[in-house]
Amino acid sequence: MSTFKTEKKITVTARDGTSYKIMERLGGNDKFNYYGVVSDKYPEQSLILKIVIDKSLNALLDREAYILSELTEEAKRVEDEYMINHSGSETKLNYQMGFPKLIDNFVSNEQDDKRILILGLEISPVLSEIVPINLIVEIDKMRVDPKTSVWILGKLLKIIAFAHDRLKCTVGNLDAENIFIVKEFHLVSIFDWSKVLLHPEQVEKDLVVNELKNAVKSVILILGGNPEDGSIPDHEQLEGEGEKYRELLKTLLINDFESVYDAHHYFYEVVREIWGRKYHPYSTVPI
Amino acid sequence: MSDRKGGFTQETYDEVNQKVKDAGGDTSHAGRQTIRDTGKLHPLVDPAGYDLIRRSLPRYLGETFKLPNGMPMLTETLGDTTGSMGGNVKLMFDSLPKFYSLLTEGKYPVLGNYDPQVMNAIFGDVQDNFVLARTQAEMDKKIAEQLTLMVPEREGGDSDEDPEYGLFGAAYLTDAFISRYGLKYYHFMVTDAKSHGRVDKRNLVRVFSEEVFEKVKENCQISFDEKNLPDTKDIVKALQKQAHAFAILVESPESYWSKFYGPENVVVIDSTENLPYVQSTLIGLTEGVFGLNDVTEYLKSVGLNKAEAIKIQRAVANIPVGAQTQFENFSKIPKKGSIFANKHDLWPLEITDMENHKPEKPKQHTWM
Repeated sequence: MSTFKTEKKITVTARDGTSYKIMERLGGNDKFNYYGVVSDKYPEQSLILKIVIDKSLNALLDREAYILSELTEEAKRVEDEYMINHSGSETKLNYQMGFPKLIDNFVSNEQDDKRILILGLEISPVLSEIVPINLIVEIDKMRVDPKTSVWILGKLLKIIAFAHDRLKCTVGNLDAENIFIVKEFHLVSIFDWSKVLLHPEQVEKDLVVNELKNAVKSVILILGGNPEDGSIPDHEQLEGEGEKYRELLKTLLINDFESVYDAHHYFYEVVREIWGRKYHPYSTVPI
Repeated sequence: MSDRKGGFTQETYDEVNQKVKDAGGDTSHAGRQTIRDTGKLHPLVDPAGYDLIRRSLPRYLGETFKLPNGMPMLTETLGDTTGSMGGNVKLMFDSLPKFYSLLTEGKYPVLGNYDPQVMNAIFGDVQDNFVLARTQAEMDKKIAEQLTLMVPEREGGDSDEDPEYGLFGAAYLTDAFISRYGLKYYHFMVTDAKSHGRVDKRNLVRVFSEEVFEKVKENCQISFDEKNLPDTKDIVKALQKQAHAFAILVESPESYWSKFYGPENVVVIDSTENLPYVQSTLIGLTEGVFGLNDVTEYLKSVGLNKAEAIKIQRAVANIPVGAQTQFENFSKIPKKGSIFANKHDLWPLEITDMENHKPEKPKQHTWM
């Protein structure tokens, strides 16, 4: 795993002279490394520096920057439309929470001409509050309870439906490690958008179904279940009417919905039949 | 217009265009005349003509095998001319000066390091008299001249067509010198329809002559079992080994061609009006001349309006940006002015070699 070229030099400078101070390494994979950074220009925000491991991969981040800009513009457009049609309403759609905010995009001469993105996460200005959901099972050795999985899956489907319907793109990476949450505030965001595919028209049904299944599988994983057959372990919330939640997850996994938007609506409709509409704090149980 | 030595120029285009005007604006006038006289396509655009194999080779200047413009980089456009796409030959002809200038001029000449060579091909379907017409790889006035030999039959409506014969030629009957460096040339198929999804021996022979299998073997050492010919997937796969091959679809669902090209190599546009800009953007991105976020600036710099530029930027957003730059020899390709000891050597002489090099027999100044 490559790290920053000069460990002693703990700042990286963008084209416009903005400095980003490296605080810690957050992780990495075969394409990118991630660092927590801070900048005087953005004093209220913890930022993530995403850098390619080799400059031959620069185009991936250039493309992701384009996608994030498009998502941001579309989220703003939708919010503006909503405000016009619902004047006086204090409700916000907040689609921008579902993906990182692009702060900066540049090629760093100091880092062997590798491309760097500086990203902010709208779901929280504090990185320590943000959790990739795979860690719940893999590190904490816990599983979320069924009611906790409701807001995670519900908000995840909302983001995917937005991407499909408004940007006409498939997300590509819906693995659990790419789904970030803020436990306290019930917020969800998809972090990596480098595998997006844009489509000229509405996303086709087989791709819709595939993305829906991948999202549901990731949530079944943090329920301690089997993503392949959709089974989830027993929990007191699944007794009585709660049994229908098992069926609901299997339905989402097996049925061919026309759109993730349809699946999202169906999901909340059934959940409200089962448990009503009540706040439920983030809760886990040991595996 | 480019001042490249022996390159395509506005003046040479105007000469050819004057003949088109004299023929009442019929772009295909020369081809029609040939067909009237002989019942056949002109040999220069007949896929069976000139040895079948289309060769893109370096051209040299002088007795020392000097490259006047760089190594040849082939671009082939295979256009649908059936039904509503019947105007594609005229489009290719009318847009040729723009296309060539986008390759070689401006702030971002997308093939500025090479000697662009241009091939054009048109396809119909197997019910047509001529399923395929395919020019030679040219770099000067001949690009325009050979377009006037192409005759679209405009039959076949907008149902499934037969581009596979053109793709077959591109995949198995093209010899692009740039491939010897491990780089790929550019191939663009432009259509608004699906295909029949196959080739058959009878039509391969009809299009390319009885020599077709022998020539495929000569060119790429592949012996086809005549009863087990490649299907569309095989053909596109073979093409993609030697070309950055894109399917450019005009208001057509991408899923059919995505199966063969991969979704990253399918580009959907709303009309062919801006085809040269789409092609130069695809080349510029693939060559790493600019990045995806620079596309609108690039297109505005070459005269396109912002709205059209944004549409093209979105249409090309899935392509493998910088794919050409990933090849080992990308930055080592001999540049303009390189001198070679022998014709078709891959690598030029070093300076010390040049001082010692004396050609065996002085030759006339030639372009090949």
